Amino acid sequence: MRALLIDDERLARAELRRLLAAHPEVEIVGEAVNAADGIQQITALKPDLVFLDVQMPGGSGFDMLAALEEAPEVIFTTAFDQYALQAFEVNALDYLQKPIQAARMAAALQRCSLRHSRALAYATAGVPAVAPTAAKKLFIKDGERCWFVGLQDVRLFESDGNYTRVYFDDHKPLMLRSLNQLEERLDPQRFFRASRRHIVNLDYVDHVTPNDAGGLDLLLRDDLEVEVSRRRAAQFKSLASW
Amino acid sequence: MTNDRPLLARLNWYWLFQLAGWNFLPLLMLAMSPGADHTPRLYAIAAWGVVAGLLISDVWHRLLKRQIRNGVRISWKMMAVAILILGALHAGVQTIGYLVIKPMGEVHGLAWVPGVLMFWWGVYLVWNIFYMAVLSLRRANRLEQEALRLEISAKDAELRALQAQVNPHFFFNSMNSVRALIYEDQDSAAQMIDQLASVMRYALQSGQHDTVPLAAEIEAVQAYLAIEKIRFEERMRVSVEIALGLEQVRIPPMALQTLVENAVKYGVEASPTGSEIRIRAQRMDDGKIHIEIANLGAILPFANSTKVGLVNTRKRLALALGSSASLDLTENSGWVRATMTLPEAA
Repeated sequence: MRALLIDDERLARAELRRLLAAHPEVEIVGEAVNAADGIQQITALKPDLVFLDVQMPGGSGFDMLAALEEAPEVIFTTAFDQYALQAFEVNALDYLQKPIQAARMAAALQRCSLRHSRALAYATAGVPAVAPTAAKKLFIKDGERCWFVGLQDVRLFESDGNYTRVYFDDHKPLMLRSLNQLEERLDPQRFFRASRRHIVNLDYVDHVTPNDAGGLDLLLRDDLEVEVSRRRAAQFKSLASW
Repeated sequence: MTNDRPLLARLNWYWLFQLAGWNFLPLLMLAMSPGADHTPRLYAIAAWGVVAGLLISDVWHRLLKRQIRNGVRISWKMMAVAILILGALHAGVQTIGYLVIKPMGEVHGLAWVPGVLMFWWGVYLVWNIFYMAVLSLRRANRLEQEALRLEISAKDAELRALQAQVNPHFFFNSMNSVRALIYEDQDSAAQMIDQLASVMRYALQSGQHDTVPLAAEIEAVQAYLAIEKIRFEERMRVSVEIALGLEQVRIPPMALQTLVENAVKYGVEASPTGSEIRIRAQRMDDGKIHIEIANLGAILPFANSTKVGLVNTRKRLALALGSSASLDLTENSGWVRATMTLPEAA
């Protein structure tokens, strides 16, 4: 795994390097010292894993993640930020408390590589040509609450002004991203632009029925209903092997 | 424990009042009838009345006490009924006394009954009014004492809470840095541990005194800044200027430390480029002492923790040095300044 270290303190980064020396499977590809630097390096280096200090100069680690197009695997490092971490839903959050203990580091890396390979398997399932770096994950920050969501768990994206509402599990937070921005990044084989307002995950479509307007009504698992406009209905039929 | 209480508190006031009250009654009556024959029988009936009064009212006192202890509210209606019963009871006992002792010869007819009843009802009305008055006075006193005690303990707890401010974020980050430093530069690591120990010891002991000399606080602040300097390296610069003769000025412990921590948090930790931390103490022309802590940056409108820190420090200044001590936070041309103003005498 290719890892990036983000921490404003040189000694904290040195300590991470020293701890990671015991894990040859982790290759450190770079270091960043603040949020802006972090965004730049993540975009440029596309690391699989980021060690991220929660408290950083020029914006918190959370704000930095929310600004990214897609989130890498993240292991948070923190001295004492219990309150900040409470913002998280339990899903897939890994954090290490400074000073970091070697055993904790090993456990976190293990969990992380497990998640990573699972996400990779999903992203490349049936599409062997796709590069194995396409493991996709979203980081969503809505108000004080944060989520890491694997794309495989998202049922529906719904446009809401400049925001997009993301439906997954029992949650539907808003993220500051337009539907068009999201569409560019999503795998068209799996995520279908049903209309101006909706992108639907085809894995979750349960029933398809033609409607009066010449389009289609999709019934998703968990009873979400989405309308496919007439213009896109033909595309839908050709895409799905219904 | 009872022996430690003053004589006045040790006296049994209930019985003193009881004896005084019940003896006062026949003495008054005897005094008001100077012309009558003061026969032994008259004294006997008077004593009979005194004993009866003491017994009846004491039984009632015990009943009342038990009711109050059980949390029963004493209502006016209950008192009125009690007075009627008590008065009638005593009138009855007194009648028996007259029948037995015959102080005024044989008792004839019933014409005296309403008068006697009215008299004893009156006596018990007065008794109960006194009793209740004493009771409520005592209760008011106790409540006042309770309130005072609560206020004192609240102040105590508040002061203690305000002083126990070892910042865990700082502590664990320092531990992390020291760990890294051990592999890099053992001497620096050892020195950092010494400094960390001084800061922690100072913070933990700060609760023992209301005020400390400025010099002691500055020493702890210097140790703290030395640690932060290792963490933030070139992102933090420090300058400290303490005017001569101010070393013994008293300040609340951790007051300066809290402000410096804030300055580091917002000036250095939150900023990619960091800041200089300036600490300056000087005597102004009006004799007041200004202690100023400055950092580059802006006052954040939503920084709640700053507000809490400031409010706490203000409270501690006021608690320790009185209302003439103050703390102000200002922002001017890119610098945020926290200024403690201490009264001249301090």
